[in-house]
Amino acid sequence: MDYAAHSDLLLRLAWWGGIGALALTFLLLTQGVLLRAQLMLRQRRERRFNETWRPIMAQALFEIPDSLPRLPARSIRQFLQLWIHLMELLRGEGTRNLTRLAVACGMDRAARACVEKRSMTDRVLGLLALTHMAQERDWELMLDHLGQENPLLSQIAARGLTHIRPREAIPLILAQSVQRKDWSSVRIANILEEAGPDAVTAPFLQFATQLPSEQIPLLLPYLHTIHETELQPLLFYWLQTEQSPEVLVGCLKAVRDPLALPAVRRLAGHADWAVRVHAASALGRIGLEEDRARLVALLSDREWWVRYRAAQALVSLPGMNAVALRALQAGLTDPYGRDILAQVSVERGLV
Amino acid sequence: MNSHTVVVVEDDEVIAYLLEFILKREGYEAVRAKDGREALDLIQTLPAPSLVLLDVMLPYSDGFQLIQAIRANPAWRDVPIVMLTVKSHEQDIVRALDSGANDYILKPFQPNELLARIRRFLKVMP
Repeated sequence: MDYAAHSDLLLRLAWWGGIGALALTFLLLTQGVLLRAQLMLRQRRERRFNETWRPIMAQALFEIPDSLPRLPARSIRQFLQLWIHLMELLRGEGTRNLTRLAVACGMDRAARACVEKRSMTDRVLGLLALTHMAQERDWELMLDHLGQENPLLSQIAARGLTHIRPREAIPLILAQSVQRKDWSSVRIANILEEAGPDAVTAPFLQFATQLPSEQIPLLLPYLHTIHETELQPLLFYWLQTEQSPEVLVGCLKAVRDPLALPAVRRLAGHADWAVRVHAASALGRIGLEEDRARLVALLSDREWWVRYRAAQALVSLPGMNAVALRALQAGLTDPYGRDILAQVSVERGLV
Repeated sequence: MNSHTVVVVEDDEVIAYLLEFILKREGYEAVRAKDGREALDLIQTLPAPSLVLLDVMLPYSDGFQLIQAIRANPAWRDVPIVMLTVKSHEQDIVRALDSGANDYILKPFQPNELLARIRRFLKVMP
């Protein structure tokens, strides 16, 4: 009897186990079918969107169509993605027309609503769209986001500010750039380049000359974004007043004005070999014939890079031709100096 | 209606659509290759077009390799090549011009500027 009862329980368990497995299989199948259907539906929606809106946006580069189709709420994200892609790709009249098109479709309101959402994708899309629309009323919103903890949002806001009021935006961005260790210097340099040297130069100089020495290295990646004629006096000033090798190297890399020659000559004897390397290169750009002896002395430097850059600088000096080079080589007593000058001569095809 | 054919080699769907739209609006015939492999097929099989608009960064073969393939094909050798490159990669311009490209357009670009440069090449064609 015991055996029969036990077997009955096992049978029931097996029965319900089988039913459970079947139900689970059916559920998984249904989920697979539903996911597939959802994907196909989304792809069809995206196809329809692209068929409708790509031609409209392309046409809008030249003229805005008189009537526009209704944009369903679920396609807003797709609209913003396509629109931002085109705005990043184009410049000039076409982008102004695209902005008019976006505003006519109510995308400025939609973008502001996106910025308030919890999803990071929506917030980035919304803020990027508002950055391109560059509407005066979004200045405060961008200003709020400039101080955002999230570096992506704060850097987009920085760009947005330069699109709305470039001259007011630059000092705000520079002040943040020396505080924010999580900002990308490449991205900020791109923002400043996009704003243009006319907008960047004056606030940059004002900011840079008031900056404490320890923060100057943080501005070095942006030197190329200001007018060259205004940059050279700043470099000249820093080369004379700053002590940090990092700052001196940054300045020596960018110096182009012979006015800085006395400072560059002095730095060719600096204790830090990295400074000597860049001083030698700078002498190659702005040096005179009379700098030959200084560079010849650097050919015997204990660091290979200093010797190499000094040799390159020597062959670039005014009045240095193949004959003068051969005479110089013949007069060198230091074997390291002779070797490095021979190597550079071969590299430059002077032998 | 223009009788000129412009080959567009561009992997980005949106950019390619836009370029084709701009070219067709101007009356040109546009033929698109979406990567380096398709472009190489076109270079081998298509009669020489009037101009090639060529992106630098492409899957399979980049723009520089395609310039060499175009210049190596006797039928395509004299086809003007206009490169499309992003502003942050300006060093590509020198390399492209050295490799045999005729002109370049920096992205972001102005559609009218692009058309003006294309017209400049097509105007002098027989």
